[in-house]
Amino acid sequence: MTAAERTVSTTLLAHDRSNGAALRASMAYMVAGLGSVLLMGLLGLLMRLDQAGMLVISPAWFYRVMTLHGSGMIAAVLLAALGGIAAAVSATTPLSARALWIALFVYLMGNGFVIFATLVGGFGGGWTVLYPLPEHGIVWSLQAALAIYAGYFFVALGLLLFCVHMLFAMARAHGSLAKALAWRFLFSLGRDKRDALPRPAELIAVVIAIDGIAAAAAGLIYLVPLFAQASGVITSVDALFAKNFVLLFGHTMANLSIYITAGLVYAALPAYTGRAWPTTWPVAAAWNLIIPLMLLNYSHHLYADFAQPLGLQLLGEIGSYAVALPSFIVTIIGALALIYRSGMRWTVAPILYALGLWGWVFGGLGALLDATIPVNQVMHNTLWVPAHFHTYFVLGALAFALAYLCFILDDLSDISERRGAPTAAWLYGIGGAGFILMFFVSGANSVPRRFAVHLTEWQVYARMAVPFVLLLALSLAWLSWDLATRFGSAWQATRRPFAGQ
Amino acid sequence: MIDRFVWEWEWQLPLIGTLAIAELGFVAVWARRTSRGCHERRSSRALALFTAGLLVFALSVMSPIGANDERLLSMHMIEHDLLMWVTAPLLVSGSLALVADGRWLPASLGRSIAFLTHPIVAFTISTVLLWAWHAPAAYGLALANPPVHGVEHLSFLVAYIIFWWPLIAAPFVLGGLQSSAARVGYLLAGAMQSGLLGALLTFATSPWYPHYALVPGATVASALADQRLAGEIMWYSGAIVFALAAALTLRAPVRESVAVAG
Repeated sequence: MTAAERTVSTTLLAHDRSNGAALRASMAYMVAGLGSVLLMGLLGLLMRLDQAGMLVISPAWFYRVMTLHGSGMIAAVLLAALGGIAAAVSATTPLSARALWIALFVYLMGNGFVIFATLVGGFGGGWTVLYPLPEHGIVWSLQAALAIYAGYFFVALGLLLFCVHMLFAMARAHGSLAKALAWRFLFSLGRDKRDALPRPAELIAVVIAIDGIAAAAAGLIYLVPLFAQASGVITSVDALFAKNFVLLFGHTMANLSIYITAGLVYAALPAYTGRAWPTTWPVAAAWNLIIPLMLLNYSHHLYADFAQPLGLQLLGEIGSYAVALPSFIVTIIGALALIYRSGMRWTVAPILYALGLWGWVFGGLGALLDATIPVNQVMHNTLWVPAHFHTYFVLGALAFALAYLCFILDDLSDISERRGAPTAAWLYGIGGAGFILMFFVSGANSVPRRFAVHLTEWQVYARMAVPFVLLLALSLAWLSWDLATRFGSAWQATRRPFAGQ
Repeated sequence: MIDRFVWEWEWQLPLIGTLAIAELGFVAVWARRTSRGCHERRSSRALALFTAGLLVFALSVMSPIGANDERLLSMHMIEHDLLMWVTAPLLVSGSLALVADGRWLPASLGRSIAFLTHPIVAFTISTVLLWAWHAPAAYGLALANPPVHGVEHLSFLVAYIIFWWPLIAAPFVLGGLQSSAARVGYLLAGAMQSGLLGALLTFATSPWYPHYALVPGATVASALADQRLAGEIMWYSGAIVFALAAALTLRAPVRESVAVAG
């Protein structure tokens, strides 16, 4: 393939082969994450077939599958996202491949615990493992609940290792944490440009590292008293405390995937549009605001808990609204401005980025509605909630992560994407949109979520969703095949010196 | 009860003799290699690691842990874990630090080691032996027959010496895993297979080994509770050991290190 045939601008390529070891570790994160997404997606298909009445799964097995699907998807998409952001910043920031591999190992071992706890131990309390329900399960034993907690412990530990390493690497590369967050530039309203500004992807890596450390710490704070109770050191744990901390942990992890993958838009889209996307003052302000706001919005999952202090409920509503504004306005408008009349070729990565922007808008609107207290009290236990987070995930975070892997391969692989691959990307969009739309319609018609058995009148929505889920699965398999055939060449390229350097 | 348990040592003179001979043999090789100019610090570390491995072996078999292995499955599991996850890597670390690149070994022995420590072969041997010995029939046979019990322990030790070799030997010539990706995959496979066995033991609804329900004072319920504890010991301690192993054995990729050095 000649340089002219490349679909990306070589002047804006990001992947530094001189740090090939870190880049390979990052790619392994992406492959492990996206591979897990495929497996977890198959579990999702099983659940939808069951809800459609086309396949009969016992309720006990349905809840096992639901728990594994939920926790596995959050962990898988986050893993792919972490790999993407590590790859994006590895060009300019010396990351330790050893630290990345150790964090990956610990993270995957945690996933193993969750898989065995659900499939072997029969745990089916949902990914949220809302205390005290898991410990009083009738279908599963206390050992199964403890295994889930142990799995979460290792996942939190892996995330913590990754984020601490990222934070230190960034602070070292830029001279200080304040410089890595562009604070002098930010607080002078963009006038003081003495410090070299971090690229948007670097700024976002620092933001998510800070929130990732907070999320992991919340998870560990949540787990310690539960282990203490299981070992008989204390008699009981305050349920409201446990609920706040598990959602601060899990909800922030889910949010991290979405916001990290937004960082991947900043990292790759300029290469396809041929236009630079520098760190402007709005970008710096928006992403610094995300730091506190991402930690506040989990509280919209506790509106139904009467014991939750009113202040936290209001903070949840304000946080949920506020977190949407900087990311929506700055990232989406910025991305659209970058694409507009750029002459960009619609290959797989740009198509997925466009779908991701679409998913972010619609998932965000769904989330804003759910975060509104009066609406939440009617909608929160319906399929409206899975609708909004599936939109974020399938047509947001996952699309962005897949697009970024395509970008790495466009950059490094000697093999071009196949002619039919963009068709697969469009089919992914159609399948995803139809699948999600049926969730929204079900939610609007008050079909409850987390129900193993659906009434006949509810099944029509699931039946309409099934062909779209199959289309989604088919298109993902097609895209995966295309990516897999190009991956080996890109992997080898990380070992070779780059002619352009 | 606890007092009795703590002091219940089981001294086995043949085993002590065998371990002493192994230590003396190692010291002889060590002294010879050191006198030929091996790096002194590395050489001392090798002796310390190998000796520690033998001590842990002796402790696991003769201390109250080993002395109670026919009474409590959980004790038996701790004994096995010490053999597979502490003794074996210590012995490998001690030996490898001394033999360095293995060029002094006879060619045929070198080829055999290279074959046995090929990652796929090593993983297969350790997995098959671990699962085969935990089959109720084999486990029951070992509990009923002391020589078979000894063979069981020895086979765990040998299988896991072979398992740890490709990870610890990475910088050397024989059977070392060359890339971090391969090492992570290998460690993960090892952790998952032993974790799955631990999970199956933890979540089993009936005792796998009737022997433990027939011990004086035990019931089916107490044997089941003990089995759950044993499963958790295998699963959780394995996770910690493998995480530590990842932290210790994931280094800069060998090829890059070689390139930098060159």
